[in-house]
Amino acid sequence: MEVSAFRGNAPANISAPSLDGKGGDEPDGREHERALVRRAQDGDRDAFGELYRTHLPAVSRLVRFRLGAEDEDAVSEIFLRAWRGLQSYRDTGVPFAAWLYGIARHVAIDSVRRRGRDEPQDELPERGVEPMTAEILTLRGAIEHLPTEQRQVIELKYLVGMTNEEVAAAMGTTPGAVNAKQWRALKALADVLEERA
Amino acid sequence: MSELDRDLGAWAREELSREQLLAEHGTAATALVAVHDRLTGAAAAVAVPSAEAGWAALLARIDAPAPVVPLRRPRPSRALSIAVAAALALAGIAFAASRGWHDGSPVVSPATTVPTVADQFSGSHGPRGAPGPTPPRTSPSGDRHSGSGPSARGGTPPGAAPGIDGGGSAKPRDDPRDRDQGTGNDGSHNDHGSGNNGPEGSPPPESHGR
Repeated sequence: MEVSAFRGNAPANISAPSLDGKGGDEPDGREHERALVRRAQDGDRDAFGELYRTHLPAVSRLVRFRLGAEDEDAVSEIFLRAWRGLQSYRDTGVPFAAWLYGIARHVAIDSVRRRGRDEPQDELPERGVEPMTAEILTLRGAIEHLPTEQRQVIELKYLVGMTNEEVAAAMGTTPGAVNAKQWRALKALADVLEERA
Repeated sequence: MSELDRDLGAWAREELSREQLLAEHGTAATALVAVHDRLTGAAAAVAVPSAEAGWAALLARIDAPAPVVPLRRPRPSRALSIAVAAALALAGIAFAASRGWHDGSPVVSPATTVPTVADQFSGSHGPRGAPGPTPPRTSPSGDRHSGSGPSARGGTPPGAAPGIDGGGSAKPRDDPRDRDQGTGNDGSHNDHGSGNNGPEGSPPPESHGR
């Protein structure tokens, strides 16, 4: 359950060690999640409810950063699609959170298209449902400039809260490569933020 | 991997303190650590909706039947389009049938009326034959020879066996003055059946062996 606690509550307390994969070797937590997924695939709603509570914070952060505003409908849509597509999930070592992340990306893209088909994304927060803090808006704008892989690393690590090993499994690469991508992404973000400052 | 990358990894693994990292790499590391801190802080600032209320709302959506999205919406214009197309097709068939009737030609299947490459180069005008009309074929099999024989001008007699290339029944009728002895030469000269189209009395070509 450490994974759940980590993903649910602790990004603010992420210290440097938590980003390199330490704390990610939680066989009990991973095994518990696998069992929940299997039960949910058999139609157990309580098991899916536990998965929902576990991953709700991470999904909410993703939606907030992707859409620029809180959007409970989008969050709900992500879990609804997860429930309906649960049979297609195969445990191949890729964390369940990574599978959810894939769904979240698609829902966010759909939502952005629906909201502002004709307007640039930078204008969305001003027209969003809720005001966004300037900090999140600034970071979000900088993240959008990253190449796809670097963006995925940043989102999976800082928003979903995955370890290097989990990100590597999700992206089909090595933890070392994930580490390199992360620092490269941080450098790029620093440059963009400096330009905009 | 640069030294900075290596030390950032060491910092992430808690093998290097933040102070050591900053002292070693100065502003380059400072900028990265600052972005790292901003990201972690912003992620933590995101408000998480109530799990229980969200789960209840999600359960309601799960219980609701999934919306059925038809692949195609019924279009009223489609039936009209099909009706117009059918009427045009019927009119075309009727016109073709009436035209064939007035021409006195036998009704033939559409497949046998399609001109083929063979039709254009064979049949009524063989190597030594004069061109002639090509009536519609009534059978895909038949005589491939041309030249002498019953003429097909004016229509194919019942029971005739036209050629596969459309030429068997389309032999030209010889000129009344022709004395080519049935070789298909329509000229008025007498070539003694050699097929020589030159002026009367001229010797036949060497290829005929004469």
